[in-house]
Amino acid sequence: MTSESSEGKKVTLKSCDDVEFKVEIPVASRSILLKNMIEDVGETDQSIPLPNVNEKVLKKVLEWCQHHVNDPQPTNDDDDSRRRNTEIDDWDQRFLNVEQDMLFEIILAANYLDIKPLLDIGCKTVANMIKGKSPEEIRNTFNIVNDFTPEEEEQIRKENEWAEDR
Amino acid sequence: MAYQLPDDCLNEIFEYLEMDKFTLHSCLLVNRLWCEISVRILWRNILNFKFGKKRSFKIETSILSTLIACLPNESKNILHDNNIFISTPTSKPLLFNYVSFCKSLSIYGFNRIIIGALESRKSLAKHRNSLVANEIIKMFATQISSLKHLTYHRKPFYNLNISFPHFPGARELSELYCDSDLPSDFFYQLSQICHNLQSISIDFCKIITDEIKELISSQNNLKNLILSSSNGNWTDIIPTITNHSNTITKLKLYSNCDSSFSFVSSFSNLQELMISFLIGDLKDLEILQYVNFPKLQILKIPFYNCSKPEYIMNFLENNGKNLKKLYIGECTNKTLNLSISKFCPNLKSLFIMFTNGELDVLKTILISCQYLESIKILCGNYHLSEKEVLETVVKYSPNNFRELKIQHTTNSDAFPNDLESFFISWERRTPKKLLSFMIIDYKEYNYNYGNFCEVLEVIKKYVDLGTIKFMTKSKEKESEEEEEFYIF
Repeated sequence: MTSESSEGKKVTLKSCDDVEFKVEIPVASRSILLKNMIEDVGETDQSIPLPNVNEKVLKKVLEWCQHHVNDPQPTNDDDDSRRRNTEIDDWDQRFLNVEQDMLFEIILAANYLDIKPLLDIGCKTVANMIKGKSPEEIRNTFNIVNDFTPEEEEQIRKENEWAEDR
Repeated sequence: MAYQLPDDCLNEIFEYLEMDKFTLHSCLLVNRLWCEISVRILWRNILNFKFGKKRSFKIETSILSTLIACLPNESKNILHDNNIFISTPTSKPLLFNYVSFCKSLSIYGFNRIIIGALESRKSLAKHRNSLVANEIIKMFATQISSLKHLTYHRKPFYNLNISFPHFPGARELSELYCDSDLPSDFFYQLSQICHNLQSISIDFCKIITDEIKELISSQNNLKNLILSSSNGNWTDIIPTITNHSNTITKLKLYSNCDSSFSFVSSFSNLQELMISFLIGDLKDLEILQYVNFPKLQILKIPFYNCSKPEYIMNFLENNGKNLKKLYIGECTNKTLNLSISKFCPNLKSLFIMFTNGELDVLKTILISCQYLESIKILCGNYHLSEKEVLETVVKYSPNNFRELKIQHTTNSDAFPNDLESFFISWERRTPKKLLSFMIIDYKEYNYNYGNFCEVLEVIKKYVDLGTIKFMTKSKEKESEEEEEFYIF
């Protein structure tokens, strides 16, 4: 991996299935977890183990980090504007055009590695998949088992009847 | 779900559906985990959702019924003692304490529900409606631990006698929408406990209480201010507001007449300014034209009779450099339109009115404003021809351009083959960008010669090919989204 803004320093990341990735520090630093780790530990030859991310997913996440290496770091105070904006830019849309399992694994990895903008677009993508669907369609889309008793389901329906129409 | 997403990720996902109650309602019924997470988001804004008029009685009755079930026994007994019997959704205890999830309270929306649901019950006198309303508001005040948004407008429900209770959960209030003449004790209470309001919106009535001034004065970091002088005048409150001129970044002014707004000149940190006056020449532009707003990014004047376009031109000469969005309605002036290409090189979004024969001005703007992403254009006999707009946009719009909004004022002159050539040329542009193609007020009669179906077919073809994203919107919806009118 290369980066225009890096000074060439690299860090080694090790996936849970023991595959090592040598990554430019600015690219790895898109992850707040890794950024803090690198700042705390300083320069090291030792690889950083990522027990929750496998090779396939880590490769994909690093591809995103590389593409967005020069983006400004997100701030904490723009939560509302972030959520109002449901647009996903073209490159990110193509990037997330993957199998559902992979999409979820990317979200999990972005959550674990603390990469907020990647988590955001992943969540937006899933939200767009849910939008406008009935409960049954959602269950089918994501292969979810309905664990309500019929009585519970009926009670939730009645207590929230006001929201059921478009 | 092969990979179960953890609660916090599900929560993040549902946050994007915050104002989509239909989908949130579906999420409630998916399974227990989805229910527990989505129910908190669904109920957060319950009184701020917009309900269609069609079935509103059923909706209002249903909300009220669940709220009545949430009431503490003491309140239920009070209603019972007054012979008020309102049915609850089931006889079982509620599955959730729904009220505790609310972070947004609209006394206006709530009054609407009470009146809507109980109006037809002749058995309930008006004072009984007030009793129901007050018991429920008391419950909100006790159970909401962190209220973020409060809308308190009395009109048009003056016959409900609401007394705003002690509300400790309002301490962290960040947005307040209110009338200027609400009871003094309401503003006094807020001024004692909330000092971190980010946003205040005031609809001015004849009376402006001292307590509202005290509330404004007691704020530490007021950022957004919305003033509407539909029934009153804001002059009396200006000195109080001007004390916050350094922190305020967004200012929106609404009026039915030519109100004074010269005070805006002291708000030097403004990033967004909206002046929406339905009548008048905006005479204070004379003062504003030479004032510098170095951070101004958005300027919106939806209704301007263009009596002195030079005021706007001078304003743009001073402040156009950083503008990202410019929105000026009802004003047709070629010199002003041309000046935009000169003074506003960094615009991303633009709406101005071009008259028939100003195609060259559009071309100049598209060439000069190299960051332009979105433009709204009126097309019709008195404005630009849609056919020519399409040709010009595809030829001259800059690389980042991605949204074309067209609003017809008379029938369109574009034939299906004109649209097709536009889409084909768009497809060939490099770099390729998905174009949002929006028609505002999309009506059959806007297309001649029975072209409507063919137009639809062409649009569908290029949506399927991934060249465009097609959207339609009513004029009212567009106006609402651009916040042209004061709405609460």
